Amino acid sequence: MSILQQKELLSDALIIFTKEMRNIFKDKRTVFSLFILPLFLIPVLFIGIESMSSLQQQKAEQTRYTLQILNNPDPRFTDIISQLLSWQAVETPGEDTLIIEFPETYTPGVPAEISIRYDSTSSASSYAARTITRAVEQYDDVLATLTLKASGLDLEVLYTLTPKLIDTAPPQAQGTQFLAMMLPYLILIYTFAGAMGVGMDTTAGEKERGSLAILLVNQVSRTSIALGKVLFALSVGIISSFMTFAGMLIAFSVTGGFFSEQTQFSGFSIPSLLTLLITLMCTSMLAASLIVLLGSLAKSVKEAAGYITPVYIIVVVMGVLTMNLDAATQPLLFLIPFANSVFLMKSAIIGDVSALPLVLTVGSLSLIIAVLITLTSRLYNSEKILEGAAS
Amino acid sequence: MVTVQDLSKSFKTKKQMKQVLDHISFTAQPGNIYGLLGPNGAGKTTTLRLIATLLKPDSGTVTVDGSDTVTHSRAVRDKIGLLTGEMRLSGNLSPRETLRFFGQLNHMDRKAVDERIASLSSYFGMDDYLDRPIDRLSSGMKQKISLAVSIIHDPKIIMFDEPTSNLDILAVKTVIDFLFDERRQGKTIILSTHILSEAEKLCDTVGILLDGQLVVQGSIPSLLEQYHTPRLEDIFFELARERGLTT
Repeated sequence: MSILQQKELLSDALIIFTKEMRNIFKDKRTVFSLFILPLFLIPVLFIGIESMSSLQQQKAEQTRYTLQILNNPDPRFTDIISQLLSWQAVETPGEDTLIIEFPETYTPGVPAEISIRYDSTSSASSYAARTITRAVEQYDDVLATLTLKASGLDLEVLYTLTPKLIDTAPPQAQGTQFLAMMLPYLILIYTFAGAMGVGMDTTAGEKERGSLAILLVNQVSRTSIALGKVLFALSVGIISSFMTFAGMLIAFSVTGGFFSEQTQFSGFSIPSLLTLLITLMCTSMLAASLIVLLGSLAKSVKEAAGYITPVYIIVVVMGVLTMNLDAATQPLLFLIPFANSVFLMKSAIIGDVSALPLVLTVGSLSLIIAVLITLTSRLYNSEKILEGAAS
Repeated sequence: MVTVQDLSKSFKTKKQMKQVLDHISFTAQPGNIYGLLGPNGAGKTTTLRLIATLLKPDSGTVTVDGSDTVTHSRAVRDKIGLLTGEMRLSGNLSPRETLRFFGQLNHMDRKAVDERIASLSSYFGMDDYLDRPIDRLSSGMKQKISLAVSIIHDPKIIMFDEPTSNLDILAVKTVIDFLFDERRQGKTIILSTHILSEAEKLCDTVGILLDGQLVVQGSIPSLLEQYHTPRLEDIFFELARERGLTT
């Protein structure tokens, strides 16, 4: 293909791309749900989770619990519970009563098993059970102190070591655990979901509306049409995932990385940001080219959804499976589509950027994207593209 | 002029090859409306798609104003305008933006496109809604835009596939008036329809397609005379009966 032909191919693809983008940007609802919503939704979601979590904790702390303590001969134990929990004793246990049962023959200072009956489905009951466990431990310390004192010893002699945690992660990586867990997953989901609707509409939707045949009867090559559609779907995917990224960063700075033990997130380094950017683009291109190919094979939007949804589910499952994994170190893992994007994003977020994973990810994804675009272009150049198209 | 010679086309189905067109030949002349008549599945749409370079023939040839549809497909596409009755324009773009888009696809420069839009808008009476989103227009308005889209590049040959199906009576009139005007201007028009009364009113020459074969063709007066009947419908049903397609 000559340079002139290549230029024409691209400029024709841009005609399709521009028209589709113009169409989507004129639809305020689509623009809002695809591009604006993630900016608000993710922070609101995080703030909501944080608020609910602290509200629940507060409620659990303020609740007056009903306890039935059986076979306890020592008032010191109930004193300790009173210091930790607001409670009242009941004779007959109700549905929400926690029962603490000492052995019938219990004697303080003699080893024994104390059972605590609680309802694991209730967060208040679970909180009370945890507090009672702590009270049992404190009571045990009291008993141990007395036993040791009788022998002229102090409890402190048993505790000779004090652990002190020192974070050896680079300063820029500290406080990024939660971000490294959630961001790749959310970006993967949003990239795919963002490109899915528009990708199906521009391919199978075009067939359903009977406008595909008209689109093919003009001076623009079919390869340009296929390219323009891929370009459009990937652009929407990229913008959508960028907004997710931005939304996540906003959420992270607003909530202070509340899920993380360290709350100081110092931002990304330039290599990390570049790696994230490249990964985001490659992931969007892969999702878009896959969606456009599957959408083009379908005769209707419904059929396209039938083809694309299983792939989407696989992507979601892959996101969930890799969520709690650390950034991969084995080069082979960077050859698995979508999983490699997740691992590379994790590496970039924790500031551990190296060339090999980046090269393997970009190389393998580029190869797959090239194959998918070639297949789409071939499909558009064949008679099969009109199968099922209205008229 | 469109010349179809000994054209055959088959498609692969799940089990076998299905012959959709079986050695058909006809010529559509400038200043004439050629009607391709037949029931659904007779091969009308396939014939139009072959002429429009959307499909390639298994055998036979199609030439459009001297250009072969296989070897000179791009030149052919420059000469033809295609409209299908199933086309449903939608979206947030205005008719002007949509027409500009199709003008660009036909490699027209902006000035030429805008002049053509002004002329078509005036002809179809679209000035009032030229800049409104298509999704907010009535079906009649949309049909006028579809017509304008198919002829934005002022093609010499116009092909309409079931153009009046799903249209209300006012929109049908727009299509009919448009076809007569284009015929007066010397355009070659090929119309595919299963509405025989419409064909009788519109077409100069008709060809009846049954099971992929062009079983009869000629000018309407000559066919009516040949079959001794005042109605095209009678000829159609007689031919269909002969082939066991109806009782």
